[in-house]
Amino acid sequence: MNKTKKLLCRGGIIVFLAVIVVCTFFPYYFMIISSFKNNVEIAAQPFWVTMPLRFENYKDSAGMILQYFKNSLIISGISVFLTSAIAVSSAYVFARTSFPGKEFLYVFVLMFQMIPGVLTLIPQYVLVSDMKIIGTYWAAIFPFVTTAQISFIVVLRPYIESLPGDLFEAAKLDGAGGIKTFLYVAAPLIKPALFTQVLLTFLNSWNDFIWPMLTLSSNKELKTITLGLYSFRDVQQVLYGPMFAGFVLASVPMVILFSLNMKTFIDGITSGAVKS
Amino acid sequence: MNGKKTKAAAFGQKSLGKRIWKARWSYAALIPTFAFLFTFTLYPALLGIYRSLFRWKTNNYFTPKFAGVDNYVRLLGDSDFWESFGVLLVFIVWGFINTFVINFSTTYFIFRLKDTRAGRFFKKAFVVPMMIPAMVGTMYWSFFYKHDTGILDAILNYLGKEEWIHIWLADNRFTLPAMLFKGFPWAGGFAMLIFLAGFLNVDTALEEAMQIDGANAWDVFTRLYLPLSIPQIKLLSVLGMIGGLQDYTVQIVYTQGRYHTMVPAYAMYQNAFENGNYGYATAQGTVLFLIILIITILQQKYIKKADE
Repeated sequence: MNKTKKLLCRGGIIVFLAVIVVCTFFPYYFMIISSFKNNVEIAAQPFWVTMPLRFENYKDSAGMILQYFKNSLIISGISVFLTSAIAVSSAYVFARTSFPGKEFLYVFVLMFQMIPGVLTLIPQYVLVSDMKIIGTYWAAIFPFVTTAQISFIVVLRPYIESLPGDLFEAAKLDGAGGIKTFLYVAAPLIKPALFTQVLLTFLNSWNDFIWPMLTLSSNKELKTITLGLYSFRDVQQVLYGPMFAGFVLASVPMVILFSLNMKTFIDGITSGAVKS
Repeated sequence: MNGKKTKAAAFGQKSLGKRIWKARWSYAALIPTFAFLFTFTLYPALLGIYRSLFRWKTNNYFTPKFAGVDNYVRLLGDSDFWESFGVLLVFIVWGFINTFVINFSTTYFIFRLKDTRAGRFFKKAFVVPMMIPAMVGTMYWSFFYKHDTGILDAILNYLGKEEWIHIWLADNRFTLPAMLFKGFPWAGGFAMLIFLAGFLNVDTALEEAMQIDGANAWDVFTRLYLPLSIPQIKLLSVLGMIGGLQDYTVQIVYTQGRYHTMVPAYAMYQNAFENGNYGYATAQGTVLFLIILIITILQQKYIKKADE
């Protein structure tokens, strides 16, 4: 391929991708400029910025959003912490120790992936009601942890297994017990994969809608951000400015969280932290 | 038996009981995992299948009455339920086209820009959709389709095509297509990262060798990168199917299942939590489970075959 053709091709690709980026970002652009408008301005001039910039929209929705944030943060935080703790301990044990029935137990864990949410949805709801934790954070946390831990374990085990055995031998010779070996030898090495799994689990928990709606709606105080955004449409006369301001506010933490950790996250995925 | 024990001891092999005791901390570390799995997955799953054999509604919530296969018989005749499978198929196939045709090619283009400024820019730009909460996207598209004051109708008005305006989310002809169009242009995000990881793992020496043999860009794509992306395609199709079968958020937010947008899992949800017919709903759940099981087994068989 001669040089001009190559340049044209590259140019073509860039133009094509640029168009797709514009289409992808248009919704964000629209929501941001609309968050500074009132209903009249949104209807009259949908695609361009209008003056004045109505910052009060953000003030109006901040209060509610903050409450939803708190709930999402608590629920997702605890969920991710529990999932990671349980999954890492199990993955480590499967990867680095041997005991009777190890592979059988592992396959047993894998089989649980075959049980889809649809089968367990209603009985889980009944169970959680009977346990009297409906209307508390735990109703949203426990079922989530139960399923999230499986993929966590499945991804982490081969990763831990692939770590060079000599490191662990050296640690044993130095007299380190199981837990010490784990903390000082294994943990730093699995950081990218672990990190990726943690972020993904967090993302899934944050975006969860159906189950939190089932178990948390009874208690207005406990709505997560996903539920809260959904309830924006309940009002008879929707004020779209504050609604979009709420959307923007809701997006900010995740964007910040991912932007700061982008490199580690991508490293985790490229190093095979997400496998079937 | 005594002979067995001494023989084993002679070979330095401990008895089973001793080995279990020696590994007690391993088992202990596994207890949380299994405790959660048994309590919140196994027990509900078995309970669900059990209850599907009962007539169990809100009016007899505490005293379900055994009804054998009544729920299943009724299920066979439930044409709405079977129609919802058709709708589900549409969603899943469309999702696959989005991911494996559109997103895959777009990601390949980004990959071809390698480490140039443009390539790095696009990589960063296309990750952003993953960071935006899913509900924000859903609500945005709800506004996009809003009658008369939404974005689509604003565009149509501006173009002078008022006659094309419909109530997009409340129309038997247009609501399903509108839902499918949601998320345009369906590029970037998690799938992109997975595909990129796959592309980056391909040895560039192979590509160079191909080019020496006279392969053009299309050959390189179809005969090198495409086949080597099969693990990524496998992973994303499994995730896509599971997600597609179990998520009905869009239906809840836009249509409550009307206008030919009902999917099986949502039908089950409605039967339980809106109609109060728990027994029937758990039967639907069990049938869905069996269908998923069969599909998974077939998929595994097909994948094994493809690998050989």
